[in-house]
Amino acid sequence: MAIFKLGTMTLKSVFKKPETLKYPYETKEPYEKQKGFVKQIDDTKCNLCGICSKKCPCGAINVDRDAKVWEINHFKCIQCQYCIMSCPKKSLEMDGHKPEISTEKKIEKIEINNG
Amino acid sequence: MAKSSVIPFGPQHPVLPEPLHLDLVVEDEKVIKAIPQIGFVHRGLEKLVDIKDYNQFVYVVERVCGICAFGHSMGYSETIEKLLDVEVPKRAEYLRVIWHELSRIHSHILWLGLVADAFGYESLFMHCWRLRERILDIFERTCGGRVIFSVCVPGGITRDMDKNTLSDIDAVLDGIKGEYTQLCKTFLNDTSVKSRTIGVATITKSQAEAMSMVGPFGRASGLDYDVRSLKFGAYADLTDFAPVIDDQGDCYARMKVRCAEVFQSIDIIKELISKIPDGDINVPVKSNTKRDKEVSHVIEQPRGECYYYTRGSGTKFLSRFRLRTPTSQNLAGMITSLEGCDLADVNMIILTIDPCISCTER
Amino acid sequence: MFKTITLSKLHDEVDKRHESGWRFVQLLGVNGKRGVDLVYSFMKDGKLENLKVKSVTSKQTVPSITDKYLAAFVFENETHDLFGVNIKDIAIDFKGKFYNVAQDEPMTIISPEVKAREERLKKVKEAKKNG
Repeated sequence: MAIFKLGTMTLKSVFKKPETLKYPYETKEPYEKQKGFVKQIDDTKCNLCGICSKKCPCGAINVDRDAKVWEINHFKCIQCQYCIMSCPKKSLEMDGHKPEISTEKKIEKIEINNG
Repeated sequence: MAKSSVIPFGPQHPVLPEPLHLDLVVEDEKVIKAIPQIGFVHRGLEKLVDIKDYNQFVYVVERVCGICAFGHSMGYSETIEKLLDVEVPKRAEYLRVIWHELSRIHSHILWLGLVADAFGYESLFMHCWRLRERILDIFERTCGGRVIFSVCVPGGITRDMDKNTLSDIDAVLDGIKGEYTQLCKTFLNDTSVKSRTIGVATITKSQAEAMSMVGPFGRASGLDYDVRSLKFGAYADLTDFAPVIDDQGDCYARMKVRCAEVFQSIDIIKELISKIPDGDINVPVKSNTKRDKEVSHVIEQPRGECYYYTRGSGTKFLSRFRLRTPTSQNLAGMITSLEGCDLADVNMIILTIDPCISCTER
Repeated sequence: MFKTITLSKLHDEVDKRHESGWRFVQLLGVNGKRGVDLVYSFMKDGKLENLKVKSVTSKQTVPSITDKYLAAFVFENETHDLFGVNIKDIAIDFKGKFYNVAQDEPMTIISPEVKAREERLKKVKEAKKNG
């Protein structure tokens, strides 16, 4: 009969749990390798060599050696992780949690205290 | 005497999936000629070779198309490895093929949902895209992203998969296979689907050869050509691989070929998961390209055969990179298949060809 | 594998391949030193062959191959729009309006980064010769 074509699938879906989450009341914990935003692990490992700035395909990272400041423009970043792979001191990582909402395009500056 | 008029179709249209413009010369509801026009999404990506070196350019190539994103980065990486004479470890080749075949399954399930939606069968559209979510979940778990992965680079891959993940992929594919069989049977055995697609827009084998068609579009007309039988990379370790061919050449045959290719991909992935070797996943690639050395390479995307060409310049930058996508090769076949059909069948014929205009004009 | 042929022999080679059943793959243009290089690709039985025509200027006319392979009209229109190559007798001819680019022949423009790189390579070569 034409009515029962997808019958078993429809019947099973009555008893299974739903495929969707009641967002924003329920959220999903991000996976271990989830893409997110780039940040420094702590502000002592970086040695301000500037390799991450040269490798970035979008020009999102800027390093100022004299002022000891490492800055990133999150709105230009395409989450390719080339900077994380090429850092010689392994001081960068990617955080998969949702970042805070901002109302303007500002650049994040971090001061490096590597002694 | 019948009067002929011209109806413009696209690029904005509720049932047209791609930004393509067609001028249909119509005589009393029958289409006599179709004149295409593309160029609405031309971004000039091939000119970016001047500013980005070959390691940074892989992220540009990935973003040429959303559905075939992994295929382009894999084809680009294999071309650069041929240019620099780099040998990639075996484990990286296996993982690349596993991701590429998962990409193919995801593209064909997405396509089946779009065809069902064009028919008016919206609950099948919902079920197909619900199944597709499980594959996107695998991608998110292994690479971090759902559509753009950034995982395949010249020299290998950047992320590894452990044993638990591989056995979970096996279990998910078993679940998808059961439900997908039911969806295919429902769709392909329906009388209204059969009466709208059997005998419509037939292309014979000699016509397909004259117009050099590729992909499932050509295989449904009897052409026996699939780049995977040329055995590049990990495809050489498969026990037997025969392309799926049908000889009727009409819309129904094209649908059957695509539905059968999903089952074939599931079998390929299961076989490779059972045989995968241990080892490295990456080789560092840092050397300069050789001046005026040219290399060409082909791979099989979900829509057909894709051709890559590159030329070195003596520095870390390439002097030219070119990719030729399967849809630009199939445009001649598409225009021929539209001649002589009814006006109401036009959007359904374009959907069975599965165009991807964003790839065609990068 | 790549083979170089002259412009006058192009149509005969394509005819020969059409007779023996070769499949047309693609046509592309590369910006060379003295003009545009055209690369035609054909495939048969798993073997891929590329025919190269070197240094075509805008004063020469290239014969179209759409009389034998209709699928080439897309690439011939694109090469005409982006590189300024003169191709005559294309089966479906858009006369320059295929892509509607803002600037004519955009791929033949040499950007300042490429110029700077070429000068640096020249200086390195001269230094090696002298020193």
